[in-house]
Amino acid sequence: MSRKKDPSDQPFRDSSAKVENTAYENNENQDLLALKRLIYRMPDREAPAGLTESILSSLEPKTVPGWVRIYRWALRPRTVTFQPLKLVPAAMVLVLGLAIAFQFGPWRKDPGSMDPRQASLIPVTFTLSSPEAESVSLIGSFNQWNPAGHKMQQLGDRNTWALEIRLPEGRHEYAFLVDGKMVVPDQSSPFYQSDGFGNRNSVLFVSRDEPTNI
Amino acid sequence: MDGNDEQNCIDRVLRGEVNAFGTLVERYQKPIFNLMYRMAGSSDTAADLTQETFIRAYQKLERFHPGKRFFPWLYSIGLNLARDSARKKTWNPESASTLNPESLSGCNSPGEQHDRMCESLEFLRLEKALDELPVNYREALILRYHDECSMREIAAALNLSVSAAKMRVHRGLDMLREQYKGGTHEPQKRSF
Amino acid sequence: MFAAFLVVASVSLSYGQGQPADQSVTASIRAARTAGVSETVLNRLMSLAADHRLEDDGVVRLLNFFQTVQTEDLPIDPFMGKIEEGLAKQIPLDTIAAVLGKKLEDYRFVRRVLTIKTEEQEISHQDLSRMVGSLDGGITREELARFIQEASAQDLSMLARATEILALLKQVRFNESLTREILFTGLRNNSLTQSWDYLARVVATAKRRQISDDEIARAARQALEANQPFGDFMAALGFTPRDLRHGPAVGRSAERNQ
Repeated sequence: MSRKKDPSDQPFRDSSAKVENTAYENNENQDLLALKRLIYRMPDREAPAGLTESILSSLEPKTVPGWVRIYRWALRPRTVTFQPLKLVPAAMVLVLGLAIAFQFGPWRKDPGSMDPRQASLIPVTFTLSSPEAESVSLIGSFNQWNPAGHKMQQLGDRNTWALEIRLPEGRHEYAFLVDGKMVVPDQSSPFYQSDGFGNRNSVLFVSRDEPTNI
Repeated sequence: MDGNDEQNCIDRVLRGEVNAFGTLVERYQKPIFNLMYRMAGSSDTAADLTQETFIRAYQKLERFHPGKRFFPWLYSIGLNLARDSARKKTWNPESASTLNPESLSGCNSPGEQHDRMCESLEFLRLEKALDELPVNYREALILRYHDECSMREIAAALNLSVSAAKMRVHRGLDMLREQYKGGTHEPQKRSF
Repeated sequence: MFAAFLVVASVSLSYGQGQPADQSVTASIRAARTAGVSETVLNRLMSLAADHRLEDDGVVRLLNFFQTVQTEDLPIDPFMGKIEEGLAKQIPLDTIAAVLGKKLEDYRFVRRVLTIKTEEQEISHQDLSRMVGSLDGGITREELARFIQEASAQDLSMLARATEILALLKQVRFNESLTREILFTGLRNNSLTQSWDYLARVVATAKRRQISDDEIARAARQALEANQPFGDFMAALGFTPRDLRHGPAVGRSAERNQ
């Protein structure tokens, strides 16, 4: 079943004799329709004579490297026609290859354990060095600043606290809440945001894309 | 001229055929000149800015993405140029009018002349109302209802998202209706 | 949760105690709802009030504040977030209220500046919040106003991105006039697209590697003038994605740390 096209994405078409109204436009106020027709028929000023010659005379022929032209040719959208049956052998090889990869790849997870919503989030590990702390929680814009549910784990060396969570792409503010009362920013992050209460929150950027996953 | 023809034109320009660019100039000089006239209010300034727009487009032509329509890209170059120029200079607008007495010649009957005059007056009123709108709204309306651009093309020309472009057109039309009907509102400052 | 709250409130009233505070909370809820504050927000606020045992007059104060925000067509989420943050950090309600008031003034200020520049008020809540956020990132109101006035930008989303980057680059002590050059180039060429959200992180790492501000700026300007992808700018500075990892570890960190 094809999706209905948004009529407003189409060019507005009018003629002096007849307006090709879509159902969408039929519901419009008559004033607005009259205005649209008027705008359509509004006469244009003519550009001065000789403008084209004047422009062309100031241009030098381009010398574009061959690879640029090839690159641009590759970018052009093309209509591809193919005969599906001829692709079947290739498709089968592809499916088989993928099945093998999924069987043995290091990223293999138990399919039952991954919530589809979770799969779209990106894992992030937070760490804090705080040997004196009794408890550390992660609070931030991603969990409505609620420490419950984001208690950090003390690592074996007893100096470091860590927690891995999954976050959506984008910018996040956060801080560590030590012993339920002390707000500590993340020293490893160079960016901050004043919270207005006299503390600084840290800022994190999360991205799925490889070149910007920083 | 469809997208393929435009692309072929651009390919020829990139192979060194300057005159192929003339085809694009001929095709789009009128809407660009009219854009510049709306921005500057003077024929001379509009002509200069139109020329500069095409020259800049020519210089950047390698960067124009194949498969996209040329006009929105050209338009956005022109609009940026006009805004930058407005910041640097004071323009002296001529008194502009679409009410051209010559347009009444060639009318064979008083009735026809009357109709022609009424229409010219309507256009004059429309022009004044458009002139009162902020640039961003005015241009969205012109692109949509005069230059017959799709919302995607308007978004590209004005460097907006498609939903922002739709909002501009929708709100612009409401504002235009107020101006057109009222005619007693204080003129808004031109904004670039 | 909210429904339970209302039941409790109505039961206590029906037993004739008729506490004025409950009534004023109810009246404030009604007024906020009429102003357009959503049920989700009201529920969230009531839950917070219950969890943190807020007094009725404090709840009324917050509800009235939300009514103002809603009436002025400002985004409510940032204010709700600030309340949640303040309560989590055990900040007194008076202080939270003062911070909310200042934030409201920040929103009004940015909106005023934008109206002067563009004569239109149609900026998305998200973009408006981004610009206001730059004030918490160390940019003064004067700096922000000047930047907005001088920037050539038809796209307010791009302008919002630029103001955020302006604050972030100031935090890492990147040369301020080079910052403006980079951002104005991106705005002028409409090339400051979403991938450039990560510009400040790249700059921070580049500076740690003793790459000069001039060199960083040159690479950024070139990429923005030519509308190149952000990855090209990074490559021009000699970076791979692995080089830039610092702060919380993003990605398959659990496997890496084993």
